[in-house]
Amino acid sequence: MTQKNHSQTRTRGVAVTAGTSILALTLAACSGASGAVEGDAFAGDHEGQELNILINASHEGAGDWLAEGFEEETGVVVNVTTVPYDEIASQLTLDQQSGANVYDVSAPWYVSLGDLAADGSIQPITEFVEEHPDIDVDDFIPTIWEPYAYVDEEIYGLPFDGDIHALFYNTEILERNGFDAPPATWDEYAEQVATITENESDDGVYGAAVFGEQSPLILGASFANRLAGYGGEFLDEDGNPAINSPEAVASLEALEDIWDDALPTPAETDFGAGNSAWFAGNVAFIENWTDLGVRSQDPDSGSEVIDDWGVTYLPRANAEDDPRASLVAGFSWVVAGNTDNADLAQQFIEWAASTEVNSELLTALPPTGIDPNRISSLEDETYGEEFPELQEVNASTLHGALAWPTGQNATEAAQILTDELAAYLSGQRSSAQETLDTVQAEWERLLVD
Amino acid sequence: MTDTLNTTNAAQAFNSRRFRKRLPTPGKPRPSLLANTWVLLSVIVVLVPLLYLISISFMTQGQIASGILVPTDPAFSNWSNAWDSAIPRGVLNSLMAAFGGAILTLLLALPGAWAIARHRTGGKALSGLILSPWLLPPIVAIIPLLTLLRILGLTNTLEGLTLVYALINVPVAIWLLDGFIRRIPVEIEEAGRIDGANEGQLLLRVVTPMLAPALIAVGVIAAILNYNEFLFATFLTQSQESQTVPVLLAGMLSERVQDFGRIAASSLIAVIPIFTVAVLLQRYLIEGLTTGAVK
Amino acid sequence: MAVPSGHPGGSGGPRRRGRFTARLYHRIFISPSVLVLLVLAAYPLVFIASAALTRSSLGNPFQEFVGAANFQTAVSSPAIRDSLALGTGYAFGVAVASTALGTVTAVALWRSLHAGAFVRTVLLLPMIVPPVVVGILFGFIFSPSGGLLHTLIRRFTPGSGTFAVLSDTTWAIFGVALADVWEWTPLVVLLVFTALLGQQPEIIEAAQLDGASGYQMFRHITLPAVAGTIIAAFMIRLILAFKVFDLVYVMTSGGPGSSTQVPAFLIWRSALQNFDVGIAATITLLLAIVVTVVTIPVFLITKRLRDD
Repeated sequence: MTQKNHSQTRTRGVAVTAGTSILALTLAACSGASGAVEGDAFAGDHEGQELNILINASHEGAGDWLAEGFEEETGVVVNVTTVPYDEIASQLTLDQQSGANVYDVSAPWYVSLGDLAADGSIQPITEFVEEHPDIDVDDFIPTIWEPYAYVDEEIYGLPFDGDIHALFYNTEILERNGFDAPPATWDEYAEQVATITENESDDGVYGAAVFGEQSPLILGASFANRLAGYGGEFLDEDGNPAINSPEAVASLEALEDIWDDALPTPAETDFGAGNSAWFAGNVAFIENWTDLGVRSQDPDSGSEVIDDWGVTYLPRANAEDDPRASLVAGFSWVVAGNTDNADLAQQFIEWAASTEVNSELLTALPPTGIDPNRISSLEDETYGEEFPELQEVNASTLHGALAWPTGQNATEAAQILTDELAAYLSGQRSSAQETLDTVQAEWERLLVD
Repeated sequence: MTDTLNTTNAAQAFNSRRFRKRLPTPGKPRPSLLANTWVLLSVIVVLVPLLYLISISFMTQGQIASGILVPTDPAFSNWSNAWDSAIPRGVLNSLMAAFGGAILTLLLALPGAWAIARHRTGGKALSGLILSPWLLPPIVAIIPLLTLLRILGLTNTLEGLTLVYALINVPVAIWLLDGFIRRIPVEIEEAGRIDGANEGQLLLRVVTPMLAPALIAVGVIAAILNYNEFLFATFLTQSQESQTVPVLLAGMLSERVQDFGRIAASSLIAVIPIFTVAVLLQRYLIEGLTTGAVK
Repeated sequence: MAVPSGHPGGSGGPRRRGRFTARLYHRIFISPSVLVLLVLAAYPLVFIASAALTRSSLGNPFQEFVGAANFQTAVSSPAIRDSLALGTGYAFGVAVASTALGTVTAVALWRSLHAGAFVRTVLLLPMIVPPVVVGILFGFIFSPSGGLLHTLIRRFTPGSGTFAVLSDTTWAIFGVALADVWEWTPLVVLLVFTALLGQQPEIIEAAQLDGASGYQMFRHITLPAVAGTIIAAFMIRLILAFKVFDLVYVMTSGGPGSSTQVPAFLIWRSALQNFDVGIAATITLLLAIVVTVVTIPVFLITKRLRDD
């Protein structure tokens, strides 16, 4: 196999080395605390073996970092393959289905776990998790743990990248337009966006970049952010679709409210377009993963907004409502269904989902795009010192969060919702209620047996 | 017969006479202002997008967003960034898969094309069916093809992709070669037979040399199709070592920070080699298309 | 006659045996082609047919026989019907546009002073550009933040709003079509132009002696001479347009809404995003039917024109 062999392609030599030395320090520190014996046994077992992992292209930095770190610790060569975020599940499935079985470990979007499990493309790790108390399941952020790990009663994944959105704002633009505080409600948000766009769009500055490209991780995320704010749910307590609820309708209408005032055009705004406008200082607001903050402070990422930004909770329906996180993206570590290397794969994901690794990834430079998955890493001191606001926003996941439906057909369900949202927002549907009624009917077919 | 001979004349005319100096061609209509204007417009329509791509490749994201069309202060960094990325490697991969696949295609297709065109081997059924795989989008065929590559142990390798390219172009190659083979006078083959050559020798020593220009022509067309292919490449080559350039370019579109300038420079790096090949071999390319596609 | 040494004492005279071995050779010669047909046509066709009749996911095809259930789902699904209709309309629109523009350009080239090597080379370029790059390029041109079109509109009519072709449900498909026409019209130009040059001079001379006017000449001599080529070019163009995928993937991802969801893209999405290979296979078969039904008349016309 011609995989990317990490030890041969050290393109980011300096940065990775810096990351590794921090890692080495941390490992030294924690081996003192939690048993050096296990670390050594670990190392002896698999020296010289190889592990192939398949991850999202935007996790490439994290992948390189992990490959280097794991090799350092165990002598295992980790080959990292990256594909666009929406292709992980299909590539992994085709790999397993065709019998090629190249990959041992992957990190797909958590919503796709159900389909992957149903096709046998990933294997349950319930026993492994139960036999290894060191994994410390209780330390995973509870709202993340369940959707990121379980398919029905079996555990298939360990949380890797928490991935909630927060509202970032450009302090300079807000000031210029006479706003002294970011919005607390979606109505205020729409108002501020409209004002700023009206004042400054002739100079190429807009109120907000709204992720609206027709993909569940993009437009779907923008909708989920509002659904969380309006207190809605994808599914009710019994697991039945509740996507045509008044809250859902309000969310879609809130999205519609800012559609025409956003950076043109939302339908074409993907991560690249939105982020670039943000870094260039051309938009006042962007709903984004909390790691955007790390990048905004990094001149090497091309950021022109260093120290000119703030971050807060996503807006709500009413100012006095508690902030509620929306688990819009989020990736889980999984073990491929047909791997010959299940032991090693399990050890890798245990390590990669651990507090130490997660904490390091949070603040590593160049930014890795990873968000907290554990309470302990969320409360990590370095993270708190360097990015106190991000830590605070991320802490909202501790008090309940909105997660996508999981299980079989969940990917298709998310896709259908996204398609209908896009159809409504581009004027192909007559009302928000009718649009979501269509989705509800489809979801009942797909998600309820 | 007259028909095919005509095409030959035409191709020759296209390639030489007309473009060097204007001889009085019988029956040629007089040039008109309208025609000249239209030709000029066509050239502009073709060139403006390409020139715009070149222009973008020298702009920073800020310059592009500010709505200028020609960079006043060219940003060469796009080109150096593109050059230092995986793109050159991807171009090499693409070239290897494209030309390796094309050569294999010719090896597989030539004997069949000759037997079908000259001896009607396989009958109407074969000649009718041969183009059928080309008619439909090949997407669902990915699953069986992946299984095939797994059986051969070639998943996720450039060799596997090359093999798939070799196979998918066989129908098109047979179809294109048909016109050329029919142009070979039957007498030459008969003469070879009388001299005692068997069919294999005939194909190898008589037909193949006569078809040399046609083989180059069809080979170039297959290579260009391969070079530009995207869908199979996405699924058959995931590792960085084997990714082809269209896959890398499409991947750049989902990056988390948009960099039009670098994407434009990368696109141009991808296009330059195949443009060069096409321009150098355009005589063959044109003849392959005109003789092969319209019979 | 060459007689292979491995066949001593065969029945019949040497001539007959020669014919026999020749035929054997021919069989061997076509075997790679037949193998290719088996691998590329028969095997996928069996796979597609089986998938269409079963509940099939990407990782686990052929789970259970469901009969015509997939067909019923597909035929009653507005998304799939719309997609097939869109695909057919797109294919014809693009093929007609390419053929018309291509023919006019070829005639202009034929009647122009400037059809030199430079023009010829320039006209070749678009069809050599990878479709992914064509998509990227036209994405830039249509980009509402600093794209060529946007910039030009702003320059000539300052203060006008944003014109975002690819996020408009009506215009997006035309944006994709424009890129498609840009890429493949040169092929039509090339084919028709060569046919124009290949006309038999005697006939034209005879017509000129008969005193035919320029327009009459064109209408009654030139056009019939190249009609077969034009239709063949149309046919090639039609099939290329039916298969369009790369441009849509790069430029619009099928959006906004479902306004550019052409069949090839829908099949890709069903199989590789939604994991429903059963439906994807069913759409492929339906598309095959549509393509056959709409191309047969064109094919028959081509044949008639060629036989004349």
